[in-house]
Amino acid sequence: MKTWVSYLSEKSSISTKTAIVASPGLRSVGKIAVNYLIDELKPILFARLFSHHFPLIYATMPTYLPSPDSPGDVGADLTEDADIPSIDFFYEGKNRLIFVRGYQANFDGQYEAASQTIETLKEAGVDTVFVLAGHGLGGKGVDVAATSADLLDQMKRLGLSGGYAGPFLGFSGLAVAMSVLRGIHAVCLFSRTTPNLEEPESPDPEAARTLLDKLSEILKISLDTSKLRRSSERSTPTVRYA
Amino acid sequence: MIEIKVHTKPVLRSPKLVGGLPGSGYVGKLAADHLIKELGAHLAAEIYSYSFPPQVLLKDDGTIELMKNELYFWNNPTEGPDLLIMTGNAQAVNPEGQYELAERILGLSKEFGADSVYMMAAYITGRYVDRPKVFGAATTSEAVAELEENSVTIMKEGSVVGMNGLLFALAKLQGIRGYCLLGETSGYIVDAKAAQAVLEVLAKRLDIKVNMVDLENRAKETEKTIRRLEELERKAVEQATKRGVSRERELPYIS
Repeated sequence: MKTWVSYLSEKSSISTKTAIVASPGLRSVGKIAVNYLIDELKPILFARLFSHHFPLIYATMPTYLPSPDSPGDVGADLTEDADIPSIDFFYEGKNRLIFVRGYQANFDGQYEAASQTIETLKEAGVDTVFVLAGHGLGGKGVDVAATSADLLDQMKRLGLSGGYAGPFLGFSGLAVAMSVLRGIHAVCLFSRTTPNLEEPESPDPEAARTLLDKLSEILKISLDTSKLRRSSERSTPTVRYA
Repeated sequence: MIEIKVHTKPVLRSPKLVGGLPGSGYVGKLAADHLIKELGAHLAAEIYSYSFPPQVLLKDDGTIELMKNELYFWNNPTEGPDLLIMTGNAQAVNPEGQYELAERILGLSKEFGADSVYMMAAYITGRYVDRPKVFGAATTSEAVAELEENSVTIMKEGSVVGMNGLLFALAKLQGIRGYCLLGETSGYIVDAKAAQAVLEVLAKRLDIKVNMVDLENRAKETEKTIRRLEELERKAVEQATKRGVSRERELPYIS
């Protein structure tokens, strides 16, 4: 069993149709956004997905561009209590949302991790996934892509449009693919950011803030994002490369 | 892991599996796409693999395309063979994935009745040519002789890498005949001329009528691109000569 889900609480206690998914990626926009949601709304961790394909130390840069020849090194993370990497599932009862904090697998595990993530969400009753990320066309604002024309129309009525065409790499992109294959709707919200070629995952908290403001509007969540810049500066995400 | 979504189980008469996947010059892919469009072929199945590049493609209109291979079918209105046409927007990235995909696609094609496989690919030379030749290989000496009758230049050595190669070679293990037609191309550009050359040989071999107008128009665009590149190269050589480089360098092959 190379990829598995461990439940920390009863599945029956969850009642939701919507999940928000994000992972490490371009300028860490999605990662910052989902971490902020978790810190502010304080959902309960109800499941963790582990995999033999989750490296602790990555052999490729950035983490969302894996190579079949470079699986990376596994091991224990000692940042807090010793632990191994995981994709974490949280449930927030007030807004009835699931948050998924993703993790980039090596090449062999990318599809498997995304597939099990979406299976877990589907079992929990989710029928729509909002995937948060950044795209590198620069400027400020949020662009959208979706798995159906109806969803796109809904987003357009909220002032969004499709501004980015191209590949959507890694766990978050495959979460969208697996949503399609499992019959779940997916909306991708991309905050515009400027790439940093030397450190592709260096944080852009402003882009994350713009993204969260739009998400809050769409899902009618009460969320104060004014603290976001300060919190990101305080804890810069660290990616370990070989 | 592979997931196959079968949309239709076609009823076919002695179908030939023909196919082309993205590769150098996009020769096979262009030819397969043109065939699907001109014949009005219908989608039979979509094939997804965990060995495809880990990504999706976002389009200008905000919709999303998954990495996949596709199998189309066409019922021939004449006495000639029906077709299964295989293409896609990706090849598997690793060898294990390529073998697994090739075996599953061949298996599915056999279920639909395929009795031979024709793959279309590129023969890379590093040079631009006005009239691309079509090279070929096959899994039996009888099949090779058939290709020679169609003025195909037989490859007596070399290799066809990737799924375009695996699909026709593995056919032998599944008890069906495999052929590969390769259009001569530089390897530097998307080459509709080479695709047209391959498709003309295939259409003649299978005795099917295919309207080539769109591909011809694309081939003319390819021709213009080649002329522009040759002009740029000529100017670069002139400038290098003026700067005192005495030897003219050949354009290096880039794989």
